[in-house]
This record gives sequence, C-alpha cells and structure tokens, in this order.
Amino acid sequence: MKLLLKQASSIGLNGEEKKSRESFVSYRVRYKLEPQEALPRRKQPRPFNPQVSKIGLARELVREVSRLGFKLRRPEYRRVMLSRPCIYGVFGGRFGGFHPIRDRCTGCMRCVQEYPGICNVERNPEFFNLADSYWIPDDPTTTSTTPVSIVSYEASTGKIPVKGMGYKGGFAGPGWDAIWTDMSEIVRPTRDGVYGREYISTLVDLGRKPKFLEFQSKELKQMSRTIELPIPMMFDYLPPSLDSESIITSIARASKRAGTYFIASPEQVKHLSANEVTQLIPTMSTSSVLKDVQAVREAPAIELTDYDASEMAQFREINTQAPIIVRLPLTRSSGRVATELAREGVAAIHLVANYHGESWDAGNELFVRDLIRSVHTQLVKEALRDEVTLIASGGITLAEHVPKAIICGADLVALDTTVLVALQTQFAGECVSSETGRIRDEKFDSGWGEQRLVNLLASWHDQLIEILSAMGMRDVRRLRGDVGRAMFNEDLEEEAFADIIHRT
Amino acid sequence: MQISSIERELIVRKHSELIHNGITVLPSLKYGISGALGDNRWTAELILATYEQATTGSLPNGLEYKIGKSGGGFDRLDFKMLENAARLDTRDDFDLSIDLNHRPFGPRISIPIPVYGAGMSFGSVSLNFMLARAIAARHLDTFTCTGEGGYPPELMAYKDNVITQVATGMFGVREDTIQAAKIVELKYAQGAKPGLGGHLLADKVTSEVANMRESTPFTSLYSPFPFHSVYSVEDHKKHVDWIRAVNPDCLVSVKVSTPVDVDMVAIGSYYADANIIHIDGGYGGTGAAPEIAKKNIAMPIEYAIPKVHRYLTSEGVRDEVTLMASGGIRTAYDVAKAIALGADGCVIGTAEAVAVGCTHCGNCERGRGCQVGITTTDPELSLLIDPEWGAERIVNLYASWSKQWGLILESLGLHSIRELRGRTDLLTYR
Repeated sequence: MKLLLKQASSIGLNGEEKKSRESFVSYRVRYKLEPQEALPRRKQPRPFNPQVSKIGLARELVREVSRLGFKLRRPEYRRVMLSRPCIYGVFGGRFGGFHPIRDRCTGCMRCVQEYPGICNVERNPEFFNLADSYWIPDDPTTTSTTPVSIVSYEASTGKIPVKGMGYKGGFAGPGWDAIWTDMSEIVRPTRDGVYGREYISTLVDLGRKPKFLEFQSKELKQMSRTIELPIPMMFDYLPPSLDSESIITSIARASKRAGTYFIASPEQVKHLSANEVTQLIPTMSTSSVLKDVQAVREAPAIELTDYDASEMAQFREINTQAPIIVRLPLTRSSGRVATELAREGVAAIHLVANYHGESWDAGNELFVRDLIRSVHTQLVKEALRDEVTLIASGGITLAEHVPKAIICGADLVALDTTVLVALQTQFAGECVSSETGRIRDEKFDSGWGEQRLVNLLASWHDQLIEILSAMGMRDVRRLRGDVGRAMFNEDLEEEAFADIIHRT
Repeated sequence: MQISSIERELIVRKHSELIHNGITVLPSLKYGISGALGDNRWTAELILATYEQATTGSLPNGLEYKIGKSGGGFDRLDFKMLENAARLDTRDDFDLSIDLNHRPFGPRISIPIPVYGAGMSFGSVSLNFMLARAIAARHLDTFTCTGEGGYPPELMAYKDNVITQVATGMFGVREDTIQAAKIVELKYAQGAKPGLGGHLLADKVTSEVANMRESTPFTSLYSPFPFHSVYSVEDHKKHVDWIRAVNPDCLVSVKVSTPVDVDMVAIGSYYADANIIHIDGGYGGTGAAPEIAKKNIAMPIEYAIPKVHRYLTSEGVRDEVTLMASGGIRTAYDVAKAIALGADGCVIGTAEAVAVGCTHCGNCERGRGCQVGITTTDPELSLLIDPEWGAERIVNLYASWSKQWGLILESLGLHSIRELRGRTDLLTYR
C-alpha cells in the first residue's frame, strides 16, 4: 500500500486536487508498470529464411508478361503483374523477389503456396543458438518461437505475447510444462484484472509472520518487520562472472521503478549512488556481517549465504528489524534444513536451484518444481509454513513459471538468467550455475537496460493477472501451495488413461 | 494509393488462383516440404495431408495423416485393431451418424457424420470463409457455428445448418437469429483462451464488423469473462431457460472449457437442461490468444473427455446428454479416439481452416490478418476464398474422414460410430 501511495503521489497531482484525491487514491490506484518500447540493442537472428530462385522468378515474370501481352499498356495490369505474394513486405523492396527483405518474414508461407517451385521458407538455425541449452526448445525444427524470443519480445514491448491458431508446442514437457493451471467457468471476478474494473492483488510479503506475540520479561519480544513487494518477483544475485556495472545498474533502477528488490553483494553496488540502492537486499556470509556494518544497517532485508544462530544477536544490534533470508541450495534434504531454519526463527528461505532448474544433488538431480513442493509440504506438516517466506529461483525463465512456482509452494520468485536474456547478454557456453556460467563482458546504456527489465516485469505481471483472473483469484497470496488449482500431467494421465492398455 | 475495384478484382483473382493451385500441388511433394511449415501439433505432413484430402476427398498418399508430433494425448493413443479374419466387411453400411438430442424434450436432430463446425466469429474470420463453412454444412447436413460476432445476413440462407452462439460479449445477439437456429450455443469459455473471454484486436474491427457487433470501428473488443449474469448453476439454468423462452424449438448447447472440475461443470449443465455439453480443451482454438493462456490454462481435451464421460455415467445420466469435444482435434483419427474416450462427437475448427489453405502460422492477429483470407477482415484478403471453392474443399475433407472412420470401424468390428463411444478397451497408449 505504501508503494501504491508513493506511486499515486508521483503521478502529477498537485495542490487541492492532490489533497482531495489522496484518500480516494489509496483505494483506487492499482499497481501498474508503464512499459515503453525498448528495442533490442543488438539485431536478433530472424526465425525464418525466405529463399527465392532468381532464375525461376525471372522465368515467371517472362511468362506473366507474355500472358498479359498488350494489356500491360494499362497501368492497372502492370500493377497486377507486379503485385507480390507477401503481405508482410518481404518482396516489397525495390528489387522484389530478387532481393527479399528477410527480416520481414513471418513464416506465413503464402509465397510457397503461390510459387512452390520458386519460393521456399526454411527455419533459421541461428535463431535457436542464443543463450544456452535450457533456453532451446525440445524440437527446434518445428517451432518459430523460443523462450529467448518470447523474453525478448516481452522486454522490448512490455506486452503479452499473442498468437493465433491454438497452441503449437509439445503436449506436455518435463518440469514446468507438465503443469496446467485451473480456470473457473462461472464463480470468479471478471477478467478485468488486466483491462479494467476489478483489482487483482499481486502483492506479497517477505518476512517472518509469528503465529502469536512473544514476550520477554513482560516486554514484547523484538520482531523483524515484513516488507511488501507489489509483485511476487525480485532479482536474484548474479555472480561476478555473470554481471557488469551496466547489468547491476539496470537491475537496481528497474527494482526501484517496479517497487521490488534485488539481491547483490555490497561489492557489486559500490558504483551506485545511495539513491540507487534503496531496494538492495545485500547478500553475504554470516561472518562478513560485521565487516560491512553500513550495508547491513540500511538494508530492508538481508540474505545470508550461511546461517549461524549464535551470530544473530550481533546482527540484531546493527539492524533490529530487517528480515533475515537464508540462501539454501536446493537438494533432496532441503525440506529438513528448511524446517530447522524455520524453527530457528529465520524470516525467509531462498531456495536456489541451478540455472537449469535442477537440484544440487550431483548425478541425481530433481527439478525445482518438485523440490519447492517438497519443502513447502514439509513446512506445512510441521505447522511452520505460514511463519516463513519461501523465495524460489533457478530455472524460472518464462512468465508462466511464476504462478506455477507459487502453486508449488513458493511465495515469490527471484529472476536470474532471464535478466541476462532480457538484456541481450551473450552467454559464453553453458550457464548452469553461478560457478560455471560466463558471459561476454560488454557495456550498454543502463537506461535502456532499466526499461527492458521494467517491460519484462510489466509483461509478466499482466500475464500473472491473466492466470489469476482465469482462476477467479483476487490475490496471488491465495495461490501459494494451492495445488488443487493446478493439474499435473502425471496425475491426469494416470486418471484418464488408467484403463487403457499401455504398450511400449 | 487507392486502387480501383477492377484492379482489386484482378489482384484477388491472380493470387487466389495461385494459392489454390499451390495447395493442390504441394502435397505431391514435387518441391519437397518447406522447413518452416508446421509445428509439433500440426506437422507439415498433417497440413499437406489435409490439403490433399480437401482436394481429392480421399486418403492421402504417402503423407502421415493420422497423428502429429506433440508427444502426448492423441499422438500416443492408437486403436487395438482386430486380426483380419475378425474384421467386418461391410464398409458402405457403417453408420457414422450421431444424435444431438438425447433428452425427452426438444427436437430430434441427427447429423450423418460425428462432427460439426466450431464457432468462429465474423471479425475473427472473413465472411467468405463463414459462407464456405455454411455451404459445406448444408451439403453434409451437419452444422457450423456463428461464433460470437453476430449473424451476418448472408448466412440466413443456411440457417437450418447454422448454430447461433450466445457468448459473454453478447455481440450481435438478436432474438431473430436465436429464433432462426435449430441449435443455440451458450459459450461460457473457449479452449483458445480458457477463462479469458474473447479479444478482437482493433485492426480487425472494420466498419462492417463493428456494425454487426454494435460497437465502434477499429476499437479492440473484449468479451468479458464469464457471463456476468451467471454465478451459479441456478443462474446457468436461467440462461438456458431464457434461450428456450426465445426459441422453444431449439437444442441448447453449452460450451465450456476444461478446468479441474470439468466433470462438475458438465453435470451442472445437465441439470440446467442443456441438450449438448460441449467441452473445449485447452490446446485448441482458432482465434488469437495470449500464448500463456493457450499453453498453460485448462487441461487438454484428451484428459477431459474420459473424466466427464465417466462422471456422467456414474451419475446415471450419460445417455441423456450429448457430449461434444473440441480443442486440438485435427484428424479423423483424433475424432475416433475422442469418441472412444467417451465423446459422442467432435467440433472442428482448425482442420476446416487448413482445408482451405491455413498454414497454422499463427499470424491471425497481425495487422491485415490471414494471408490466405481466413482470419481476416481486410477487404482484399477476405476475397481470396471463394465460398463455393472453400465449401467443396471442406466437404472433400469430411469425405476422406468418413472413409477413415469406416476403415476404423471395420478394423474394430463395429457397425456404428455410436458403438465406439467410451470404448477405451479398444485403445492402446504408448
């Protein structure tokens, strides 16, 4: 609400108007990011390669000239002869089909339909060689969109990707693609979450929520505060091998505009002004807390890469209220560790899979989706779930992964390599983990980067609202762990085809 | 530059002749298969096989026409065919008809093939394509559906074969068009964008479309979701009653999507006195829709059909209601598999579009819309489909499908497509 009021006060009202509308605004202003076009700074490979046989085209022109003959004296016939098959202008240049404008091709195939012996359209293999293997579709030979092109579109426009003629991908893939979300036929708010009247809240809290008040010597025991995020998304820590000043500045500024937070080490933000690090959640080891007192004192929350309960008293002397987040690499035993941390009084646990969404169990990896579910379920069993916040990261690369991660039990997600893709950073090889991932070092305008990330969040926010409105949910917090509002492929398959003979 | 009507006619004639010739030639593979054609669900071979069937009315030659490469659902289901000796040998006598009304009230309506056409609205598709579908429906004695964009007067000549859709936006809904219809479809949701209502982008809202929908030209139109007057099964019943009050002699079809509780939705519609329950799976749809919705919201139809069929059976009402399925049903084999899973019949949209030249490129929502005249309102592009030509191709497609259904029944030892309903014992899954 504070953020909404802040946004409301910054929308240009003044004087009496501002005063008279303040109380009204506090109820009516909804969270809305303002996307603006931020075109790619580096030309992206096009998905299609239209090809034209020049000899065939010349023959066709001769054939048409001879067919029309004297009619060509009339200008309309000349225009008819020169009218070209592509409605997107691939042949709209001065030399028509002799020099097609390949960037305009949408793969509609009309040129192939009209001139099958002359025109051909192939997929461009370069289109898929961006980012790394996690970002490449299972079957590149049959798709014209990739996770990279989707994120790029979202970061460029801030819009929701729209296409016609049904879904074109595989039936159900591993991981996130094996989940469908529910929709409600009748009992639900309107779809106007995105377009109009009804407000759907995407606000989440980060922090400890004790079940009851605790007292020490008749004094209320000190509790850490909760911080509010208007969207269940924040930016994760990127190691030095995957960051640059331009990237960190873009993230910091985008966080501020979106009202969300970003995790970074104090060293990574040294080049930023104090005004730019208001949304910083510093990440550090317990032992280094005392080495950077100022960063700890001013932090809205702090992320520790390890946890030692005996050191917490010292920490509280520096910052009495900041929620403590513990960064926990996801493994098969994360449920047990998370339970212990929750009992210790930790405010939030950041469950971190590798960048491909796998656990850190060498040779026996599980996918992040299953591990979030298992940690969430264990905390529920121990009656601790409502006391801690779960942040999930790793392998969350598309808008739909956010609601799916929340359905599996996370409160919010932290974005990692998606940021790099949105900023058109070039991966150097496979980017599986913070230890092995590398990018090519380069500088870019951080104003452009800020807008790209704001656009990405705007698009993902709107898509989250689409999912919530389809379900009839007014509050993303209600979605957490609600697996009853999701369908898992393995369950549906077993139920639907149980009595059908399976053959291999 | 403004072009004259003669010039437009010449341009349309040139390109429509070229397109029509091209989609006739392409399945011969004389020029190979273009690498950019098709996707996992509608593979290049399925598209070309559909072109060929629409041209010849016969089974395709040398192209995969039964399944795609989605890796699941219909593409992993197959029939458990009988040994040759046990097969029937009465191909011409197979009964492919289904009844659309199993209730004691309402008119008796049967269709000779187990499919009818899906709703595609005026505005989302061209008038010529709508006419082609209507002419084909009349020829086949089945139905096509208006979608929610109103009832163009040109369709009135085919009213006995046109389903009027009443959807959440109520665009173009009028008493006379409800009264003209043998079947009225109440659309609660659609597979293209389950839970999100309709969305026609401004570019396609031409003056004609706006006039039909009683809206403003070149302004995006959103159908709300859901019906704002329906928040319970009782409200739903009121809606069905409202349709019957306007037209007592029609069948009422209720189109819903496939949520977790699709079985409960179906039984609710049964108790609301719907004649037809039409479930539209999450992967289907012909209209432009957010990618996130198409891929992620609601379950695929392959899972929804057995769930609904079993529940209606367990409630003892299965034989009183017609269950139609749609959403990603591409081939004759998909239809037969859907029936074996428990549907009475299927509702077809995309396959009819492919029959007249759709390449499944998905550019329906862009600027001028479809390059071959299907999902467009552009004055030039929408003329690329000649209604009679389009109708002939759709009829040919279903002629080929009918042959395939006959072959399937023959190899399963069944005489009627109705006997196939719910026969999951005749399916295998790999």
